[in-house]
Amino acid sequence: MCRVGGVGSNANGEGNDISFDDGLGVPMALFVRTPSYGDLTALLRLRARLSAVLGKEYVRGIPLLLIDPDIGTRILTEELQKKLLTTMSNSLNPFQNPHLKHQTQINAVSETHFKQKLEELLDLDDDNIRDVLTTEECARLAGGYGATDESVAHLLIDAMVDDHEEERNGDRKQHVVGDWSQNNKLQHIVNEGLSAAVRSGKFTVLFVLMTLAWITVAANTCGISLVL
Amino acid sequence: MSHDQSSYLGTTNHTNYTDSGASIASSLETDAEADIETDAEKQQLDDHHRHGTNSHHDDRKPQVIIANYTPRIDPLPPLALEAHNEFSELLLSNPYMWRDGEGPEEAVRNSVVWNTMSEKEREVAEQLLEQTCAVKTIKNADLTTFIQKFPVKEDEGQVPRRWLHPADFKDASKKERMQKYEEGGDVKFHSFHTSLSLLPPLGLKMRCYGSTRSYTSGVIFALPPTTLVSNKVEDEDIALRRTHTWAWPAGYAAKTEFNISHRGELINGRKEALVSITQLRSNNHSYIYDKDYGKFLIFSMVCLASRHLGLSSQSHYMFFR
Repeated sequence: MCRVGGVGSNANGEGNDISFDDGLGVPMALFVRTPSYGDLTALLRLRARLSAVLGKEYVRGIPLLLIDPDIGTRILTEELQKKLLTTMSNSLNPFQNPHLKHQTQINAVSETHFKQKLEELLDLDDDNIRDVLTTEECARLAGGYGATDESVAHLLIDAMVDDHEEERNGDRKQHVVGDWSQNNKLQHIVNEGLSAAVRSGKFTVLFVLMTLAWITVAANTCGISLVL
Repeated sequence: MSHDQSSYLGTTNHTNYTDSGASIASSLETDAEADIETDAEKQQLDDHHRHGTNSHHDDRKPQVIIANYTPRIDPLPPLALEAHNEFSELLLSNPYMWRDGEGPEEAVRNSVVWNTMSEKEREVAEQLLEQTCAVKTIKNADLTTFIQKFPVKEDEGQVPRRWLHPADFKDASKKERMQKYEEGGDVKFHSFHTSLSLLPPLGLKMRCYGSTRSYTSGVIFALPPTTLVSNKVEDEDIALRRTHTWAWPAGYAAKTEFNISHRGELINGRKEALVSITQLRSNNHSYIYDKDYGKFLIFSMVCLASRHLGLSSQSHYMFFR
């Protein structure tokens, strides 16, 4: 029986003054007990939740571990996290949090569970995920596992900017913006995201992706710049 | 009667639609015979007569034809991996290594992995090896409750709360006793007591609390390195006693929810069973290295039970023998 909380150190290690009197602070690391993809995904979601609840400065760079009585401790280093995300986006059948799946159905949404679902969304802009994964892989992660609205919007805007640059350079025929019948990068990554969302049965992500894609296209058509 | 065979979006083909009544069907047939113009339609009507009532039954549903509609949708092909598959590369990411016949206390750093680790990861690996951190597994369904205990909602006018330890109640004011917390203090988060486990070095051999299915993940808290009291370094065990930080041997069912008196004191032998953190580390060492740890465990349990019953130390040994 130990006192926890009270003090906490930020990402720079400042303010760490833990004691049995005032508390052991906030968690210094997170761990899972099996190396299964399901549990590792739960670990990434737990990190996202802690970041949403405690603040990014207290969770940035927090170590992720596997602790198993038979093999001891293993470290999910940054390099392994990148490999894990690549595997998740390319080879793993995406899935929702099993504890939330039945509480966030299209016809029956529990408010508390939906709030948790929002807190668990991955931030593609954080931890250099965008630098490691391709835009298609990011879209699949967003569709299959869920990502924050801001990071998905950034992904779509970047894709649209790339499309414009291609047009300007004459790499592709001029097309009408917003015409989805033509093959462009924006359409491609939205399709990737939608496919992943269908695989995991995430109706909310389907709506968000479609809405954000249409907002992006419509804003561009009207000449409005999106600031996110 | 002319038939419009167009098949654009949303068009409903009512050509053969009949309602449930037989009279309506027969009147339709009469009208149709009068207006037949093409051979194809004659053939269709012959088929209609030949099949009798069965044909009528099949044609009852309206046929809606939608442009670009694909009646059969092929499911997306499954990907190679499922949630239960293991991320095998993680198993190779061992921060420490030791030879056969040795234990974690003789471990040396695995430079291949160590060089890829961040400063924080090295720190937590060292603390797990030295047993200077404690872990807590959290039930998946209780994760929200646990996480929400920390943040101070400043936008709602909240100030940091220090939830009272059972032993703090006797010195607390009436308001604090009713609220069960003290307010204020130069801290950033609420503080509260919770149960933690001090695992053997690197978490070897000892199972964390709960099943891996219900208690999937957990958190690690660092133990304070040293405590300064009146400008003197306080011994860890003394600090534990002073702050009412209770510790029991691994596997001991303390059940504090039932074994604390209204004055905040441990009852039913729980106080007698308390051990120091040094004792916990010693137990962990024995658990990892001693070959007959089971014998040691039984002896310890007998000692505890007899001490609770007020028997002499001689009787422990007699009972054990």
